[in-house]
Amino acid sequence: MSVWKRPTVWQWVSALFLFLMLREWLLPLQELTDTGILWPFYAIVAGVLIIDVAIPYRWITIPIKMLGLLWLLHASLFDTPLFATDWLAELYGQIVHDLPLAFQQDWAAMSILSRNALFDLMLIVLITMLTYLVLEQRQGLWFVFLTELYLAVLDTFLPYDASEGIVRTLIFGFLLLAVSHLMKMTNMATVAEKRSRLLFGSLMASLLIILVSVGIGYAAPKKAASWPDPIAFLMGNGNETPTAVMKKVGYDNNDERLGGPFLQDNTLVFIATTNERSYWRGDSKDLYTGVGWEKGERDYTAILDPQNYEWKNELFHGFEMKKVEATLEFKGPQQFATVFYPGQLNKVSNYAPPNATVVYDQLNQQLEVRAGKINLIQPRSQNGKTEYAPNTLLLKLNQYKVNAEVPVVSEKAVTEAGTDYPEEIKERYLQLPATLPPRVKELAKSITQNAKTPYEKVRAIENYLRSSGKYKYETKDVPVAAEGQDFVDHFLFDSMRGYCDHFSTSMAVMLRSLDIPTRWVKGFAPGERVGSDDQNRDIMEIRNKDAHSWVEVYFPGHGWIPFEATSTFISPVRFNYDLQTSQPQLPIPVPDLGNQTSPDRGDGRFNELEEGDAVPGKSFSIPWQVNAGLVVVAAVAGFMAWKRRKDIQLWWLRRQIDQHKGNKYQDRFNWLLRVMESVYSRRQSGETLREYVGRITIPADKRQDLRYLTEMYERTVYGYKELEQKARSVAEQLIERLIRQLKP
Amino acid sequence: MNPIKLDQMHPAIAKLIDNIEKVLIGKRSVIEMMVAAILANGHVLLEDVPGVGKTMLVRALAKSIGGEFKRIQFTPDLLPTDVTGVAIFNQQTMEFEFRQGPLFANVILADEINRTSPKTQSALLEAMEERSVTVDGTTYRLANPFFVMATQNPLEYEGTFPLPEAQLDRFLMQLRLGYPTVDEEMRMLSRFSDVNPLTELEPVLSAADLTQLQKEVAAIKVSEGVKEYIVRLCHRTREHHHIYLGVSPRGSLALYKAVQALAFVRGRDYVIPDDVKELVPLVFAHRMIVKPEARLEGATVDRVLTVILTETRVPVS
Repeated sequence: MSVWKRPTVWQWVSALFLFLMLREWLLPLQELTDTGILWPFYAIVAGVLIIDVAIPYRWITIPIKMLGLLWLLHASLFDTPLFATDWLAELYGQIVHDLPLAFQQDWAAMSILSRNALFDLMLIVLITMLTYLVLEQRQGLWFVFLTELYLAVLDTFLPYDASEGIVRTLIFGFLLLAVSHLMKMTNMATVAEKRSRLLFGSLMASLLIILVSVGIGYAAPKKAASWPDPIAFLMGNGNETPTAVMKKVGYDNNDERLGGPFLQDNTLVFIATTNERSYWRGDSKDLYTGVGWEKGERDYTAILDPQNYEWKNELFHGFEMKKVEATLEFKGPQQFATVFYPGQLNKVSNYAPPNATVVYDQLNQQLEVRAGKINLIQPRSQNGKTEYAPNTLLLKLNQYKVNAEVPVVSEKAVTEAGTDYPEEIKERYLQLPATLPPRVKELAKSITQNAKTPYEKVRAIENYLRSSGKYKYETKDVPVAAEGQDFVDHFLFDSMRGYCDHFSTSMAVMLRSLDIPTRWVKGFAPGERVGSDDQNRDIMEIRNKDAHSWVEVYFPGHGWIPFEATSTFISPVRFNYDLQTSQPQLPIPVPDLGNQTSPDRGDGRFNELEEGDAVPGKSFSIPWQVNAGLVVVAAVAGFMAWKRRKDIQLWWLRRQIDQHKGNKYQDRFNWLLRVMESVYSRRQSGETLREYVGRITIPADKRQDLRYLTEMYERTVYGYKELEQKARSVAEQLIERLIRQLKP
Repeated sequence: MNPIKLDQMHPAIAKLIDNIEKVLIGKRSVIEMMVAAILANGHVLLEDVPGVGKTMLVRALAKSIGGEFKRIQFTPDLLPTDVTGVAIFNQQTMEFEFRQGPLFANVILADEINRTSPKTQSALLEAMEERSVTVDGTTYRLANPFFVMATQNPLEYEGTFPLPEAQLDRFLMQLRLGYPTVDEEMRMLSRFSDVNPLTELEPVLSAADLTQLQKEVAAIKVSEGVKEYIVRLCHRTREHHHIYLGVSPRGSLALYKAVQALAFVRGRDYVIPDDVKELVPLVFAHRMIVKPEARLEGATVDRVLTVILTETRVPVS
């Protein structure tokens, strides 16, 4: 390390391969965690590698890396000029404030800034150690192996497709090993002038071998996996129905068959800037089939100039309204043709791409965006499946602004709304399949026996589903209804566990059985507040896990009011408890969220589980930072143990020696020998004890003692003599002394 | 503080070695080996250039054990009877009378043994093995102790008869004296300047003492592990791919006796693997032949033996 040596091309090449390997570790983060962008991590990996390869003095690299980290934090999180002190002061303040939280593992309470800073720091330390091990110590094989293992585990147990990554890792890993091994070999060999040619030739050879083996593996006929879905198999879901297939959470248009377990997915869907926390309504469905929801009749209008179109009181009216202005930006991998909006929509504007036509479903208040200025062609319906004419290409918007209004629902008004439902409402929204078992209606009746008005009934059923404690929020161990069994019936009476689709469908169906018009709404929960903009509007992150479904209930004279049936979600709908009654208010059940007072946390399907709902060992709700931290801690511990393996070995051997005090002298000596071997070098099998004692580098007085002990040992082993009492005690003293004084 | 003195040399042996060392400076290890060879009742082959002190060594040994010393200078025209002795017709007694040859002594230096004809060589070597001489049908026992030190010239001289392998096998060890260091040689010069120290040498052992010591050597303990080690080494020489002729069972027996003697010289009544390792090159080297093709690759007996010694597991328990 003391001599400055210009890094060779091959060192850079192996650093490049190491970078490519590390990239395979980072790639899944985007898909599996709520990590939005990866470039800061790539920057860290590349920066650390370049610094470590280019600068051989490790004490210089540390401040350089720290400066790089500061620059990176500034570049990714601050808008202020780089050469100013305010952002540094803020960074310092945040970290000092959040450091205790890190020790309490309260990751959620930490600011994004310090979370990032700490994680980046861990990453730098980790990459530095990896660089040292793989590039300097040339111990790359275990890293290749670990990478493959990591990808294999992710591929098997999480919804991440690592098949390409595994092949890439194989190629990069073996090239890395080939380069570092060849460098080692040519360093030892005395072929300096031919070195690079030799390296190049050998590298080409190993490249050829890798390509041929990967090619054969790719082209060769393969048997189908004999164990296609290990998760379902491991969870033992197979016994209820063999078709329980894991779904990934998210918003999609097909609800013909509900239920079944699903997996957490943290992928970002959109970022919203809004002045009101509310549901993001996408669509509603009216036709309950017994297994899922479909759309019945449709009534579309094409709005060719959506920019200047205004909607008015499409969902509800007659309440105090709050104006909402929200901008949605779809930053994730998914975009939707459906427009999501808070409350009821007034206006859509500032959308991109701009050449859009909105197809408006007047019955379900759904906006679907089509490309170009087209005339609407009525969809043809066939077996309930809608087919669109070819020119009605769905257009997915990247961003748009919605003007909307949310109601402050007057309890008095909805209580007094009565049951004077319009005919078309009764016709469409009281529909129930004939196969619905009567016990569903009986249950609904028994729950609402004390309720007089529809509103009270709605609240009673909502309360029953949310707070009776009978129904458990569960996403993974979710049984699927048997063929022919009603979805709601199965949830209410048999499985009693499920997620929002189960709760909302049950509420809608039970209310319908009580002749209250309802429909099933889907969209996204309000999401997680990550900050605010300059106008003090909230910035919300909405992820796939926030995909949600709830219930809208029709009140004559007022329209559709949303209600929340799922126990772990809080309804964002504002209510004005203006009912003058001696009866205590029907409480809006609020699940106990611990000491979490601020409501601006994400209402994800997963991360707001009540204590009792959390299934130990099965929960995926540990924040990824904790996992990453644990991995780092384990790696650091492993590295330390590896570096200090001699100490550990010596400690163990000392213990052994202490435990074998009463044993024969031969045993004692053999243990001593093992200690010596662990501290100094191993005895070769062709080496006599005296040669070994003479060879090892050891202070003269210790060598003298050791020689004496060796000769005593020879007496007993080769001369078949017993040691006299006195000689034995002297030997014991010498052994003790030697062992205490030894240092690795 | 050590309560027992370890590896303390037998007093008689110590005296003997000190005595010889008065004459031959700086060759203590060779002297030890030679003493070990005598104690093991074996003979020594010295391969060295003239003038390094072979005669001096042997004469000092002979004098120290109070025995008779004879030197035979082997020449191409030497006859077997010149070595063993001859029966001469005595005209007074009208009988054949045996005239003892130079073999009838305690310590014999057979100089440049490879200069004589094989016939004469074998007469000597048979006498060495059997410790008796047969002339005209009568067997005469040789003296006891009987110790032969033969020298052969390492250089390929004209008119030499290399010793056949079977004959070489008769020597317990092959030793090499080598040149003294500058310091040793200077000490030698000053010691020899006034008077030849050999004349002042007093016997420290009697022949009977030596016989007694030889008996004690035979009782030195060799553990099973060490025995196995000896045999394993022996087998390795036979199996090694560079070796044309490995060590015979006679060789392993020789090593066994030699290590006992060396352990005794070193003051132990048991053999340790270090003794074996030390003696293997001396006892085995002259009994092995390297394949010609391996010799071309640079293999020598010594190198092969070094490899074998590092590869063979040493018994440590």
